[in-house]
Amino acid sequence: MIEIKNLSVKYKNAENYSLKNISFKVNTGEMVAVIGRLNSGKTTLCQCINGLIPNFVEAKLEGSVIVDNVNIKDSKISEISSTVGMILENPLLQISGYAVTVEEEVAFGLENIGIKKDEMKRRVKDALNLVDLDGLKYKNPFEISGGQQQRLAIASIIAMNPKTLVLDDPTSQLDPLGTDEVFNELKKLKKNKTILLVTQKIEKIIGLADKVLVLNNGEMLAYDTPSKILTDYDLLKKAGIKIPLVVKIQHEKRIPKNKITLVVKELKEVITGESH
Amino acid sequence: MLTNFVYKDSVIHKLNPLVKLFWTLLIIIVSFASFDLKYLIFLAITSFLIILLTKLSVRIMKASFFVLFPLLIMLIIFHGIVNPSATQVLFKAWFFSVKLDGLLLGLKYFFRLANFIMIAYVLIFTTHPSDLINSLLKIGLPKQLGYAVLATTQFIPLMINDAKTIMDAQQARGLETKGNVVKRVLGFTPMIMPVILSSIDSAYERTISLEIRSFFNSTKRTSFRDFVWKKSDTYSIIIMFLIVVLGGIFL
Repeated sequence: MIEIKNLSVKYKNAENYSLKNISFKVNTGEMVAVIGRLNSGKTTLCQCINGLIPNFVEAKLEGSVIVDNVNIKDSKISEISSTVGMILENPLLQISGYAVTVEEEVAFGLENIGIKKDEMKRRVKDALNLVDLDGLKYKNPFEISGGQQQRLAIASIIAMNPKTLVLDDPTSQLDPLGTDEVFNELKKLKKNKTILLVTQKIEKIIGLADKVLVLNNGEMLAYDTPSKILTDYDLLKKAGIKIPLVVKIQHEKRIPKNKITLVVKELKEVITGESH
Repeated sequence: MLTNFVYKDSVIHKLNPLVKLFWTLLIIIVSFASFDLKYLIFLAITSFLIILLTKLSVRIMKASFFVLFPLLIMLIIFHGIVNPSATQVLFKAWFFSVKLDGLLLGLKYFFRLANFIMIAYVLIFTTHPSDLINSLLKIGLPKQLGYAVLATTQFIPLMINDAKTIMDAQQARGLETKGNVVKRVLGFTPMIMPVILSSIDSAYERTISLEIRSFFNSTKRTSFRDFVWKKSDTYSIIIMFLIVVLGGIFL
């Protein structure tokens, strides 16, 4: 469970706040997608949830961030890291540099939290199977492609079995097929975890995320269900987010806001219904 | 990864990295402590026999011979001719005299270096850096130190790649990196700052990555790899110890 109340963040030496008065709650078993243009505060929000801000990154944090009943402000990163897993945007930088094979890279986090060998081997195998990297387990992590490194980063965190997952654009370097695979896996993981997913691929969050948080210049523009957020043409435009084609067409046909659909099959029905 | 490790199916490769580290330290310490030429030659033969047991091509050592051979000549010439403490004149030629005790001293220094290089070769070429560091972690090496060593071997090739990319980008914008020394130095200067800055940036991001993977956790670290100490490892240590000690007694 993630509970954020009146969160504001200002980096050291920065003139403006990077996040301003953000409040929302995500329950266990729920997934929230965070969308917004560049520098809207998405990564800052992720870093607040896993305690990097204020414990590692020099920034002033106002308000409260509570993850699984633990106030992040009062905890050490070493304590938070075993319960909150984070996947960074750049997979190359997530590779530890400690391991010389893909399977050892997945095991790295497990070694650090003292998981016993048999359990570790099982978790490494499961995580690699999950992201379809089993065939590359003896390869050097630096010698695989960017997409494979991204899947490796996901496997490395999933193996640690954190209750909360924070994913900062985990499919930025994946092809459409790889993206689908990751989103399908997230769907399976959602059941017993709290997930916060930053993504640019907004069409993928329909049917996956329970709520969508829209950020713009550090402010929370909206927090609602995907069907409500993604059909709001004006909101998406204001937030600088690419508007789904299906919504664009309906907007141009002057379909009322409350009747706009995201389902392509219903598009004809909505347009013809409105014209009669 | 920056490593000279070459895999071969040899008895030496199969030994625990700590055994090879023990051998290396033993030979180096004894070589540098001894002043007996016969004993130093004996240790050189022992090291060479170990190299043969590795099944590695002796050609791998070619580069070292290129360094060792001129060094041998220089050591012998310097000590044989200009060492002021040498007194036993072997023969006189032109304006200088060649002294026997100087020549022998040069040979001793040469064999010390040769022993050092040969046994270090065994360790470097038959042990994967990761195996060595993980073995050392098992006997109490701090994980931060182990990480620093292993990460260096992994990140140097990445930094070289970054430097190449930055150099290509600068050359595409008309930067001259060929020509005389002055031109080259001036050409490489604009490349240094981006390489340093991108490395600092990567190091910072990677620290974040280590934080989120619980690296700085105080929990006792476990290990994914199997590190088995076999009977043959114990015997190997005993045998090497006996060779060194008995050689020292009887030679």
